[in-house]
Amino acid sequence: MDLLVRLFSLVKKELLAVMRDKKSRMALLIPPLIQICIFGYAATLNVTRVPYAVLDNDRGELATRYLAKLEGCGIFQPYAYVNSEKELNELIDSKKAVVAVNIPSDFSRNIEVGNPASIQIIADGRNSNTAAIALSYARQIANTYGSEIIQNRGINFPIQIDDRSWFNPNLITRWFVVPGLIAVLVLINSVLSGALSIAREREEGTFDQLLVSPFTPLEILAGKGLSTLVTGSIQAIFVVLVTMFWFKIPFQGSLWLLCGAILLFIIAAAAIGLCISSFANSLQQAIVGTFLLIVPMVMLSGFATPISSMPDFFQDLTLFNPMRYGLEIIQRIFLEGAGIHDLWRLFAAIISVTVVAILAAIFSFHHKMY
Amino acid sequence: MDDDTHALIDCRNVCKNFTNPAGDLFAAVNEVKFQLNRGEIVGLLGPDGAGKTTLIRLLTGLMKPHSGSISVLGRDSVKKSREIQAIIGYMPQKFGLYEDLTVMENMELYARLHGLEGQARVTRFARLLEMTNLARFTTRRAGKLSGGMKQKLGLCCSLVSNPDLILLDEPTVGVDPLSRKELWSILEECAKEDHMGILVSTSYMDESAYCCRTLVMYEGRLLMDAPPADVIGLAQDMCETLHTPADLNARQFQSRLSALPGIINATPQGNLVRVVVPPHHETRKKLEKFSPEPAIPDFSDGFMTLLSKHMDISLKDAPLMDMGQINNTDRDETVIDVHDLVKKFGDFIAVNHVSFSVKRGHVFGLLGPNGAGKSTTFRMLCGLLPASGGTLTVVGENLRTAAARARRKIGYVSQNYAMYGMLTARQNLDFFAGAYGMRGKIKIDSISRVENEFSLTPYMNAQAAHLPGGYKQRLSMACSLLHSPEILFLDEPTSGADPLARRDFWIRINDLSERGVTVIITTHFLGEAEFCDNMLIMMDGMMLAEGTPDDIRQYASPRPDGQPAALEDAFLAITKAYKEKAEKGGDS
Repeated sequence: MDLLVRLFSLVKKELLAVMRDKKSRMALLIPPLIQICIFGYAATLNVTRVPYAVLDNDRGELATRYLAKLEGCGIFQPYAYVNSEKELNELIDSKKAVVAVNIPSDFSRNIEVGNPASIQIIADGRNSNTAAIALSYARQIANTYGSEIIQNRGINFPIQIDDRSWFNPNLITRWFVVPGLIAVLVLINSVLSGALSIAREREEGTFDQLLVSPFTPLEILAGKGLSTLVTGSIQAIFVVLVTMFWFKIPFQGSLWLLCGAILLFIIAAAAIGLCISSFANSLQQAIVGTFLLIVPMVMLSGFATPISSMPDFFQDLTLFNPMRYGLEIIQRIFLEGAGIHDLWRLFAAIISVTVVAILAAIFSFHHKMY
Repeated sequence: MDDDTHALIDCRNVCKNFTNPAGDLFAAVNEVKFQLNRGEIVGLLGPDGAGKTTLIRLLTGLMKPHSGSISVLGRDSVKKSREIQAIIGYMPQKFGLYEDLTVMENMELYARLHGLEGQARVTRFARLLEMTNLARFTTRRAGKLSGGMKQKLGLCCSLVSNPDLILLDEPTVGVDPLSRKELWSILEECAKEDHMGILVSTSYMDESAYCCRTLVMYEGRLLMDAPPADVIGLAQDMCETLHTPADLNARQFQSRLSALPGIINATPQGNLVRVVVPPHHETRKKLEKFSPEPAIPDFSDGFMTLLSKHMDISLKDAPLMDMGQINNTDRDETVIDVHDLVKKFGDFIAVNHVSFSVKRGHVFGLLGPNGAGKSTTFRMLCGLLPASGGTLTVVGENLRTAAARARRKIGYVSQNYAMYGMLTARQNLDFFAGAYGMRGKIKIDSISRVENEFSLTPYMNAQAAHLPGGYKQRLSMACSLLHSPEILFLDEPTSGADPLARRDFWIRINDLSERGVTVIITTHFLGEAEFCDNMLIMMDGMMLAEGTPDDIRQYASPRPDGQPAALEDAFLAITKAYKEKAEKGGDS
């Protein structure tokens, strides 16, 4: 009972300190809102409105039909029709066009006599991602067009690809990025508030006051952790609501499972923050320490780039990264509607990482204080 | 007037306003007007927050006044601030010494900044080193110097260009008494031989003795501009020494006297108490039975008399005590026992074999200059630092290793009254009550008890960070007394405090001690030693002396007039003996 009274008053004090300060209150909601808007709207990997230039030496009906398909697919936007290769090159060089389509003069004739016809498509490799995606669309359109022509002649194309993307049928980047952002934002807030809470008390001199009171170091850690859990949850709920109702990302899974996953993840992040704060002697050190850790944690989580394309060493490193598990769990609950039978391995992993982080926080705290 | 044109500083009706944390505008410097001439040492006296630092920064041109004008060496402080900064000497509170450079390298650096080269530099350095007695330490790194030597080096660096005017902001704060004396004699030499004009701010009242003139500041206003003798003269014929009745000690007597109407100042002095009462005041009749004898007032008596002319300084909402007998027996139990305590940080020995013990209900002072090791000792007692050697018990336990439960027996007031500034006074109290496991009625009762005891009612819902200085101190003490601890630890509680706040503070401490609470205090204000039952004087981690104020007094040579020696003289003698011994040890 005594323990509960003390712990309660510690958590209450922490929360009062945050909630009474207008700046801290704002800091809880405004930066995440800004970030989620930036990531949700601006950070998209989907390719649309690709400007292209055309040099049509054929001028035949077959060539015009291909160009019409290109224009009508929704990905490309015609920039100019030109008369020479030189002009085509210039448009690519000056970045006015990202893709150039060069149709040779024998295009229609070759098709009519049954020979293979070629189209040259040049893409601006300076932006490799867009180039690759644009090229694959252009190729896909050519393939469909080709099989249509063959079908018209009464022959069936031997292999048909019938593609379908599960969980995100139109492969909208936002569906993937925004739920991931829940994990990123919760990570930043929880690590930072864990790291700052003790550093701030140390700087203001109230930390000694806590240490001479009957609080044990473990209780101080628990109190700090619990209050971070509360503020982190408020923030997480806010971000999840924005994700579901503003960005209208379809939510397929169990809300309870999502809450459980986020709570676990906040505890892990807060423990990491408390670890930092037991080493930091000032607020500045705590802030620098936090960002030194958060950036690699996000990079090694699969949020920006797929883990499977990282070198082996870094892939191994990601196994210790709670962010990796938090991200994957949240994305899968959101888009795939994964249940606990699908995710238990990930949950087991995040629980073990959390336990390690808590033990590390306790150890470093004890080591530094006593 | 001829004098007018030759004044080094001419400050005319200067005002500077600031906004306090609660958002209200207040005048940090309010209509200040004075002059300073060549060859004069002028002391700027007043507690923290009186506006001393602001005034000095205005004089250097680092800040602009809101109204009024300042002329320094004939130059306007706003239009020609750069010029002023280049030609005056200025030593701020935290002087920019490079701790990793040697004494000589620091001096060379400042000489180059002032463009002092060649033979001129050699002669100037020789003179400065001789004046400050630093010649033997030129190859030592500044970081390895003692507090007093660092201040001397700082002074050296601000004097390299041999300026006509030097401004010093609290150069002696936290410095040992011998070094303080030496610093002042350097300044006296500069004034006399180089005809410098010198402005020194200080919150040590006794340092007024070194000044030709004192500017007494309080809450931004300049209350008096006069030679120190005139300030002391304000309390002339008002000062008496009283004999402490047998059933009280001097501090207990002093507390009771302070609460009487008309008492302007009361100071314990050994077994006597010196009081300042206006002549013909009715309280004088009550004092007859304590066989009063006329006494010589000192500067703080004069300061308080001056203050009483400007505001009501009567004691409000202090704990009420009757003149009756109190229980001074049953105080033989030892509650703190320290034996052979050692603390090392790497090679550095911060506390060197210190032993002492404290009895229940006593007020025990850990005295010494900054860096003496008193805070380290204090932190070990509270269990905040592990000891490297020796034993210590506080109420029978070592707080470092004892269960957290044992810490309920102590209360702790940190330096600068640290508390949660974002929270209101009530929320702070609420938190600390909860921290000690209180709830329900017990909690409500404890909070209202300390609320009444410290008269916090008008400020209970104010944000702690916005409390006026005196109330911060009260709230901080209230928080640490909620759980009725047996021992109260206070780290530098009176550093820079207003004399009124200081008086309130000691009355409260006395009250606690009378109720059987043991009080441990660290202070670099050696004048406060008279309030302690027992004390330990430390320097460089060593124990220099231990005992009651009267024991300590024995170290000073007796005064010719048969009056008890001042404790300051004893401290000086103790420090001097220690330094001589240390130097001998260093030479052999």
